[in-house]
Amino acid sequence: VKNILPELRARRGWTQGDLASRLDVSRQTVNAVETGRYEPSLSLAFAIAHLFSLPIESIFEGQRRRARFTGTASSTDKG
Amino acid sequence: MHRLPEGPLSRIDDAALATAAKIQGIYTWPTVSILVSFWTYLVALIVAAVFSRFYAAGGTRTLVVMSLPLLTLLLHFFISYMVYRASDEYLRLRILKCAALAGVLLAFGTTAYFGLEQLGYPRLSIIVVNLIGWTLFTIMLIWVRHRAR
Repeated sequence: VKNILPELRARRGWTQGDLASRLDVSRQTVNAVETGRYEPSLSLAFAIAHLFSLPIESIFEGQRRRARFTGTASSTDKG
Repeated sequence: MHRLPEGPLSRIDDAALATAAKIQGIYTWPTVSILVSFWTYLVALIVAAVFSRFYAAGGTRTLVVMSLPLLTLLLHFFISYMVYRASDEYLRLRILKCAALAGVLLAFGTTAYFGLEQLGYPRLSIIVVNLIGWTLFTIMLIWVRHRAR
């Protein structure tokens, strides 16, 4: 999941540590989310969106998921 | 150097403050509690081993040899769980990965040693396997928590 967290953080002049303390997570977690190594849970994504007063989809850019085992499009892809 | 009012604190320089901060960073409550509980477990194992060798057979010996390692292992497990509960979601994922990795390494290690046993190597006590597993997990857990300080 790509995200614009580093840009949002930089605009406010926050370090990863500052953002981590505002979200009540570790700096490692912020780093992992920013670099795309970790996809945050819904609750953390909502907390980030709330902190920056933005909708989740404008911060995180998800990729369409495909069913892993059947090779067919999953129900989220339909429509 | 910081400009402090005249007194004992005015003689503390930046290097000393940096060292103090570094030490405080290492000795956070999760790392200290994990280390202490694991150390307690190791001591309990030694005490149980010594007790079983030098104490006369009977109810007391059975009670001590059985309960000491089990209770201290339970303490270590409980502390590890408390550290897990006190971690955020990413660290929890990493701790679970550590547990899985320790289990996988132990599985491969014991399988490899089974082969070596067939080739004439001495038989391993189950406590050695247990100790290796817990040591691996504890080291990885401390590393994860230390990096997240």
